[in-house]
Amino acid sequence: MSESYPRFAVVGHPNKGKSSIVAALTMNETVAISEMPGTTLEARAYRFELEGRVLYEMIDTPGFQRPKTILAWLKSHYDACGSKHRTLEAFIEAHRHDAAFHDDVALLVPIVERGAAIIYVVDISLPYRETYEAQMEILRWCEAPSMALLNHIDKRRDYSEAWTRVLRGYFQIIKRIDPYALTPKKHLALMDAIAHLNEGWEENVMEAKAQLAHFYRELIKRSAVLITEEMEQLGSYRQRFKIAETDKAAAVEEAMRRFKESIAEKERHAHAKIAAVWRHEKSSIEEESFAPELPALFSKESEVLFGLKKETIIGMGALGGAAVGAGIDALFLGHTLLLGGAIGGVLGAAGAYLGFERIAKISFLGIKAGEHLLELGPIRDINMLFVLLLRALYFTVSIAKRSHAERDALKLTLAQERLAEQWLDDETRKEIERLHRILRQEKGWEAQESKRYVEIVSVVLENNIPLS
Amino acid sequence: MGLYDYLFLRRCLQNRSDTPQARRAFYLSLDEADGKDDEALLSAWFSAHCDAAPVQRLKHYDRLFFSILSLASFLFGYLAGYALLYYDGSRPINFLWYLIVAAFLPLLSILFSAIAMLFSPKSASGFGLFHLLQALFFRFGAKALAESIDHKESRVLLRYLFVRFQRVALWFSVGIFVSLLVVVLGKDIAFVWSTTLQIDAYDFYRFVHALAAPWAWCCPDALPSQTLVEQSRYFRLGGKVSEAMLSHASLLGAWWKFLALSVLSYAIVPRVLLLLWGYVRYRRTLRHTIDNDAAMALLLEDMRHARADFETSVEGVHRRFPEAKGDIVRHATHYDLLVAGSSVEKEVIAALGIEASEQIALLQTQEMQEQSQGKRTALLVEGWDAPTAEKIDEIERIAKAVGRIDLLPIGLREESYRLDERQLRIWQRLFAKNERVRVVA
Ligand SMILES: Nc1nc2c(ncn2[C@@H]2O[C@H](COP(=O)(O)OP(=O)(O)OP(=O)(O)O)[C@@H](O)[C@H]2O)c(=O)[nH]1
Ligand SMILES: [Mg+2]
Repeated sequence: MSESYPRFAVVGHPNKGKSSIVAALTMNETVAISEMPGTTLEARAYRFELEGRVLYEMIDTPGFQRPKTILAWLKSHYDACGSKHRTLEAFIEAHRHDAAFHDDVALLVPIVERGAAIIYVVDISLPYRETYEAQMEILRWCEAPSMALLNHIDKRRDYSEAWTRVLRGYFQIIKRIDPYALTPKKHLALMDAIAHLNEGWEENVMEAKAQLAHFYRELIKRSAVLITEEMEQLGSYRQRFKIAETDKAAAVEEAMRRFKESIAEKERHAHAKIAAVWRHEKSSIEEESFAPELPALFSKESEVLFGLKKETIIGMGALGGAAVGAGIDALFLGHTLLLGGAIGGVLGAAGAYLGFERIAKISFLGIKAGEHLLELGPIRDINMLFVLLLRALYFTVSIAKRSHAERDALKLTLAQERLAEQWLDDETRKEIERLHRILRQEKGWEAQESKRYVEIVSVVLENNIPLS
Repeated sequence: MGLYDYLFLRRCLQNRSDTPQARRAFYLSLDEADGKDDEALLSAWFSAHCDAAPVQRLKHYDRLFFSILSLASFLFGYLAGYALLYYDGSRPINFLWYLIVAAFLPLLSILFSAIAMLFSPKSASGFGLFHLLQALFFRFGAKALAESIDHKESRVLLRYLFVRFQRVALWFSVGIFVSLLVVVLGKDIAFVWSTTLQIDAYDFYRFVHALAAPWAWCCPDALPSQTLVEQSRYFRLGGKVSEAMLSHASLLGAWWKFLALSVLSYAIVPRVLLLLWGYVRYRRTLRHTIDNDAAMALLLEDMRHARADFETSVEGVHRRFPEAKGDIVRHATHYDLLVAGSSVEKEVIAALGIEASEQIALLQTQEMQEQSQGKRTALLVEGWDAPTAEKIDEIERIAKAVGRIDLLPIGLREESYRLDERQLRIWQRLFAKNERVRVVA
């Protein structure tokens, strides 16, 4: 047998959700899942590792295809082989290259040759039939630790009683699972069941469980950092537009539209990163776009010349050189008196003499001296920042709870996302508002404010993505 | 790590979403990673994962821009110094005027700068800074960067620019200083002092002494004597030089040491100190900003700490199924022969509304062939459960024996023995390649 770490082969009849369970338990969206029976073609191990050391692995296998034939073969060869295990080995040896038994061999190899424990998956929304008996018999022949997982695919029907009765005869542990609603909490709880499957592994699996809990906590923290980063970016976001003198109204409108689009785009990007943290493709999520009201934005319009505002230049001209050289408009901060004074004096004089408009038209090396600029942002409406936060929170919690077996898009609407408001108590809400107000200001957040925000968001996420 | 590295690293981090695993793997691939400090690790990560060209370009333009500015400032200083010391022997040079321009004005500027630094806004308005940068060198290297500078960054940027501009200013004073040395070396200059104010020589001597206080202890040579002060007073009466003055003209050059040390003590040294102070502040702010950057902290943590994670590289292998062709037709109401396994009871057939002239259970191939000769045959199977290959084989065996069959997969009793559209499609796809089997509903 190869390296000894806990291995679990997820086996069963075709189409019972084996791959769905593996996908959910290993946070892997790429596991092949489809409504066609026989989708999984090869056994594949999905590992949970720490620094190259495997903590445990889940093996997705193809479903049983010829259980009756196999059982008959096993029975007829038992005497010659001497033990059940050896009979199984002999079966695998004899059929390794037999296309008819390709799936069954792939299913048995991890158990028989690699010492994997058995997780037998059944669908309790369909009645038990004797045809399953052959499968369970074969698994019994494997003499491996085993448990049964009850998957309830169609909630309208429930045959769990009949199933449990039969399964008890074959499996020590029987658990329910819903691979499409596997939250971190349920994932961790399942680890306990798995740990008891094989005494020799108990310690390993419990270590893996502790690591898994740690892993989830890290994802939550990471999400909190990303949300904070997103809020910081959106909350202080400004955009500048050059405005042509002709048809100014249209230009302003266009600028507003582009600003809105940038905000939405930044939000999409941030959410995609959060989705990636939770191992989800952003493409599997359909989120209603954020569309802020236009008047909620700060905007100011000004004319600039060589980066200096018109008022500044005129001011410089008026004051005349020296005094202003020390630092005008925070621009020439620390600049030499002589240099600043000289530039100020020259520009001031030229400005006063020629008039702003005329200088603005001068261009040098293709760089226009003067421009009319419209600056949009930051978001003025404190409520809008709040909504952005609610969206991020709701998005994160939804994505954290989303199963990796899910192949349909997750749909999130604006109305839905307001629900996150219930997650915040008055005190939290007040503190968030306080931080948002600071964010809106010119100076933005200091390190301690960002840190506090991460903490608050972490707590909200922890409360809503419970681990125990 | 400098400011520009930080700015670009930050953006690079914002645009990427790599896994902690990948970061840890990178860390482990580094030589002597454990010995590296935060900055070294961040730099290593940056150069391996981000495009370094824009940073290099920006640094290049920054250097170019400030080098040109510094050179210009030096030349300006040199020329200014030279002009102030322009001496053709017809008139002596009033060093008071020289002191004002070469030492006092710079000192004033240093004071202004220091005050401006102390009371500077915590960050510049994005607007002003953006334009300053645009007007400077950013437009060549990093236009997008200039547009996206945020508050925290703008503060560091301001402090950085402060240092840069102080350096430019320093070159101005160095220029003046050098010009003084050059002029003194190449010419003999008569320095005098002259003022409209009613100051007697003794008061002026005390004033000069006070000015010389910073270097009095080390360079007594550069401390003008009372006689020198008296001798070098100059009155411009009708442009004539007094006889007395001419008699000790050679002594008047002695002022140069005093002037040189004044420039050094009042323009250059304070500027250097301010520059150092500014530099320390800039480095501290940068350090602080980097240390408090959550994304960077996360990157460092990811690199330094082993963390369990799921393997993501493996991908499941799909079996491909042919697409279903055409619509599913309903079963006929009458069949000559109905084949049904033991699990399909009479009641089911009745419920489905199928009439059959004859019904048989599953038989051996031979018998099946004989019994079904020329008959329109339907096969009923339990369709609610996914068929295994064993079951599909069985169906195909019967189809082959009979020649052609209508396959009717039946549903659960709760669903009135009918399958839904989706389930039927699955059955249809499973037999899409078999011409003998037609799935009916
Ligand atoms: N709603 C729901 N659908 C499920 C559940 N489990 C499985 N399914 C669906 O059942 C079908 C089969 O799921 P798979 O996970 O591919 O099943 P499998 O056992 O791996 O199938 P094979 O690889 O073909 O043997 C897919 O369409 C799944 O979406 C469940 O718990 N709830
Ligand atoms: Mg599968």
